[in-house]
Amino acid sequence: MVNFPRKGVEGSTETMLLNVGPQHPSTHGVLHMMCEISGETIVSAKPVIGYLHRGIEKLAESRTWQQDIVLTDRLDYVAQFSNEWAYCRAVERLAGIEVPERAEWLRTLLVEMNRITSHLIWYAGVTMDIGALGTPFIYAWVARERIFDFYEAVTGARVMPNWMRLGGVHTDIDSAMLKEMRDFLERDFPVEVDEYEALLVGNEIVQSRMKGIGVFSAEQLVEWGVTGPALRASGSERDLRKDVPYGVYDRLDFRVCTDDVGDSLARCRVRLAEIRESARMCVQIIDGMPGGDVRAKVSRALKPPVGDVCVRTESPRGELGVLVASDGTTKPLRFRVRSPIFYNLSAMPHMLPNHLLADMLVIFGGIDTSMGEIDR
Amino acid sequence: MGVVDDAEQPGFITTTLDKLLRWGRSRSMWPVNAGIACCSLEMMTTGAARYDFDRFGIMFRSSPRQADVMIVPGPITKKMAPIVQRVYNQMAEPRWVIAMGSCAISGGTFVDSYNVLPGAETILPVDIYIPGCPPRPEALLYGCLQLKKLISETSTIGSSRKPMYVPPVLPEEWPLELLGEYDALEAGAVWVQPERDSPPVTPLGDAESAPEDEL
Repeated sequence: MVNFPRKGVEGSTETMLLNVGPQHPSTHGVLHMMCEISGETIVSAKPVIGYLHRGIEKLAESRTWQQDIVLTDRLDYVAQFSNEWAYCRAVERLAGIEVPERAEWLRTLLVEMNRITSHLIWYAGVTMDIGALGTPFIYAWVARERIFDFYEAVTGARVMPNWMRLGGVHTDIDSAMLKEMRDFLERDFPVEVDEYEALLVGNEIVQSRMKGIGVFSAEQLVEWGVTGPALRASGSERDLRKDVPYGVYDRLDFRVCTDDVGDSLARCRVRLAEIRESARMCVQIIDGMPGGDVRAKVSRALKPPVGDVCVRTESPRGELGVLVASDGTTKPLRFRVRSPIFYNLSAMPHMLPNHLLADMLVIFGGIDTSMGEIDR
Repeated sequence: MGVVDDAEQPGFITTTLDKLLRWGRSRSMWPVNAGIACCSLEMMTTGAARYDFDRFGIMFRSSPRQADVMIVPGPITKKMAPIVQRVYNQMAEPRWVIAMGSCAISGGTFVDSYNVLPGAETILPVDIYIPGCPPRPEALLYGCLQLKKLISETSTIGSSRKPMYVPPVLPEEWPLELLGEYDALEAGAVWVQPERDSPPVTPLGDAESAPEDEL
């Protein structure tokens, strides 16, 4: 734990320990936050993790390369496609598998739609944390359910798709389905997002809870290892989709959504802008979708050559890194995940001190945690 | 307390009160809002607009003190087991448990993990099992309606009251907190897993000979 001065607040005499979680409606899962408070002010905070540690990295070593895709779904269960893609890209680079062109476009399409649903869950969560108990949650689920219908039609599952394969994707998307997606994302969806934005950013209570709360500079956040929308809200343009293009991002016209203010409201604006940008990208992908195969021939008893590969992707929460190491057998030697939320969460002891206790959940909602990926 | 003491030989007042209680409880099941893993997303979805838990009187409560149903939506790890049990112990009696998803039933995908319990059954008395990874919202709704049926058929007065203790499984490996008089057996007693009604298993390839009306 980082050592903060015990008497962080002027005039304080003694501090109290307050445990938030692991069963708490605002911790987005099973996070346990130990806060040392002086009155209403946080003196120091310490996140306690591991309540959902299922040993995924170790389990991956006892399954074959293809079977591990099932486990990557369950890493970050809010952004499943991003995890699958990161893992598949790593193994494909290690084994030298060529992915068909159409498969890359389909993967990018689903990952961008996944970014929308992930941000919608953040939207529902952060508004519930600050006290809006029903309305924004139910609003966000309207558009989310429409997109989940597409997931179900394409992959056969709602939450755990297990759709990507080494060397492509499992099922193709036919043109009628693509047209339906395009109609929704171009016509209906922006109207919904306008409504969501008015409900959140236009609300006076939300503004008074979020404006000027948790202001961090980009230099501070980079020093703490924070990536993703939380960093971009402080003015940094760091986005792996632009910096190190993968998939078909180099052929898409999109902008990196940033904000200069760096407070909690800026993080909301960046995420809402990313939702719109992702919808625009999805429409571009559907328009530019080439024909052809969706899956290369890959042996079930795949034996990648000895070596290790690390890839980086931009997941909805930040930089997701995957390292796979092979010893030339059908099972991985090592599977390691660089989880973005783990690093974002470990900045909490730096972010929270000298804030009010009620602001803790606002700052905490700004980094958008998902405990499945932190604990693995 | 005269009415309750009389419950060993139920009379008119006791049975009428019992019926009233069962009617009320089965129509206002309040689950505790304890999301663990992936299944909690589908749990939230079931509470949202399209599936709408509220029309069955099911409302999520953030405090276990106000809840009477616990939905276990995910794998219980060794570190989480005392917490889950503590939340369960904090709920007022009578209380029911729904194991949602493969992980809560048997460990599911993580059954061979070193840190995951083989199902919620090892630490909690589970009433309803909902298979799926994760179960669809319709499946969760169906499970809750089954629980509603179970509650309306279960008398909670007198000797038919369900024992509400929690079995101390492997205490040296998972230190579990035991709170309250019904939580644990007395020292030295051996906990025996209660027998459960399980559907008859039809052997593969022998479907014709299986009794039809069993399922």
